Amino acid sequence: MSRVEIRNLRKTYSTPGGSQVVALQDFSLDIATGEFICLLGPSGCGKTTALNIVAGLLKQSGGEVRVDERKVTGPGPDRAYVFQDYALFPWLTVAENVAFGLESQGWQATPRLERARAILAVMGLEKFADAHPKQLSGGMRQRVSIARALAVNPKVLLMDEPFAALDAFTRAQLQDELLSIWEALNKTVLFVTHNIDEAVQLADRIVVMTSRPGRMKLVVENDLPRPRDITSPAYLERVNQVRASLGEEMGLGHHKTYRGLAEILGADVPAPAKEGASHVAN
Amino acid sequence: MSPIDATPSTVAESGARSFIDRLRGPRATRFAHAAVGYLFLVGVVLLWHLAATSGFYPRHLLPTPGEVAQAVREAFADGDLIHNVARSLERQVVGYVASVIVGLPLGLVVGWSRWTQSALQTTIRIIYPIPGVAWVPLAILWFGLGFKSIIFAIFITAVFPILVNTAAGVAAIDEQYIRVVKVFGTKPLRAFLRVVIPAAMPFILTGLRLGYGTGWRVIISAEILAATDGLGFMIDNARWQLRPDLVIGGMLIIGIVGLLVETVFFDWLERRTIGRWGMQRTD
Repeated sequence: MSRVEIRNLRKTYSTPGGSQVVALQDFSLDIATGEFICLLGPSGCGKTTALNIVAGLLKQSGGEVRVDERKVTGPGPDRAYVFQDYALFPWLTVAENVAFGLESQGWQATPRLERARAILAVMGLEKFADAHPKQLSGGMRQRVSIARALAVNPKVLLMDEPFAALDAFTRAQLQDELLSIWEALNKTVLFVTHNIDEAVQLADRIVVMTSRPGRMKLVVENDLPRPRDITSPAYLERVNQVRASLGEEMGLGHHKTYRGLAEILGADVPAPAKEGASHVAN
Repeated sequence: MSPIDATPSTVAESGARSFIDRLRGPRATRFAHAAVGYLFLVGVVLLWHLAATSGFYPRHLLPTPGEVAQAVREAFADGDLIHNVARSLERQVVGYVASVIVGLPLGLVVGWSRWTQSALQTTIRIIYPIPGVAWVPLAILWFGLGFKSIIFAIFITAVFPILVNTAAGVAAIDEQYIRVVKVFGTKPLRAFLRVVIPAAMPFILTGLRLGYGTGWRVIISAEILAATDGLGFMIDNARWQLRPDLVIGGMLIIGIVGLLVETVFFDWLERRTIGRWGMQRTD
């Protein structure tokens, strides 16, 4: 049985000039219960568009999304969202932020704050329950944002480049923490990223996407055993495999010569090698 | 999981520093700035004293700071000053509260609904630039001299800055917050109270402050035209009695009472809300 079914999703925008831009095309994916999926691709490949359609924040131009057989027509309590910029409310305390989803569902103050505090305690954030978000670092804010999404006990966790704004150390910590949460709760996760390493570390399957128009390029079965050893040959091979498929897509590997720049800046650079030799360099 | 450092943000403090200070670094301390401010004020009072005693201008028209202080002390002693301050503040509070009650909800609606905005915009744009005092003649015709006319003038003056700023605040709400509300399916009323109003708070506070300030300025003018007590009446009455000491003293009281509320109270309110939340506007 599959939890999230995405069928032939299509999204077009009309520009102010009146022409149509295809943001997403032929996007189909079956996601099993408890599966961790990464949508990976360069900016403009429609990965966030796909995520937002699944979230119900965006209306598709064609195709459909089903969660447990039920057609998605808008946001719902079965899906929670973690935003790249955390999107915490600065005027609420950390605990009130975590409880916001429950508050929206009509929970009374006492039980909802109790649950929020309990979740924060498990995540080691209980000290900050009464602080305001501005007092927290970026990493902690994102953990609070994850706690807010978990508090409503959704079936599916939708995450839009949640760790993109964090430094490498904090990102590694949060990836680790997310995996612990995922293993504890067996939530279905749809995770958007442009970071190859991140996708290989986290996902069961990696959906590699291409841009203009946004569509799926290939799906990588990422069956490396967990916990994943990021120094193992198998891991590095997987990263390289994904990188190669993306590099091809982005036109990388064609070295450009920017000799004109030195001339503009009047920079003192060694003279280019002789004509015959430059072929070898390229 | 090891806790990551929580360093309270210092953005709030740096926001209040001038451009030059930020170029030069933290050498100019807050204390030095305050000291310079008071020193300058002392200098102004000293110059005033010298000008008044130099005799180049008739003494009965330009009293010394000491004489002004004496006049204020006397007015305070016979209860006149207290009475007039109380009357002005009473009018200010009644008119201002009315303008908040009307301006704030209306501003929320205008900011939220594009249709209301389109409907009201042109009308508001024409009425907004009319100074509050310009309403006083009409108010006197409608309500007669006294309380009602003055209340009307303050109300009409304060309501627009509150309305316009609140509407701008609601219209400028970060799209992220709206998406959170959508994702969690927050009901409209709760979303309004818990998200929209606090998110618009920096603008709302600006509107409240502006409304209060312009209201206070108008009340004094209106009292000159249409009252038999209050600070505006007091200084105009002192003119008739040829008492420049009391005129100047009254003006200073108007300034100081204004300062206390406009700066001290609203600064406090701002620190308690958007300051604590880290939401100060940087413009």
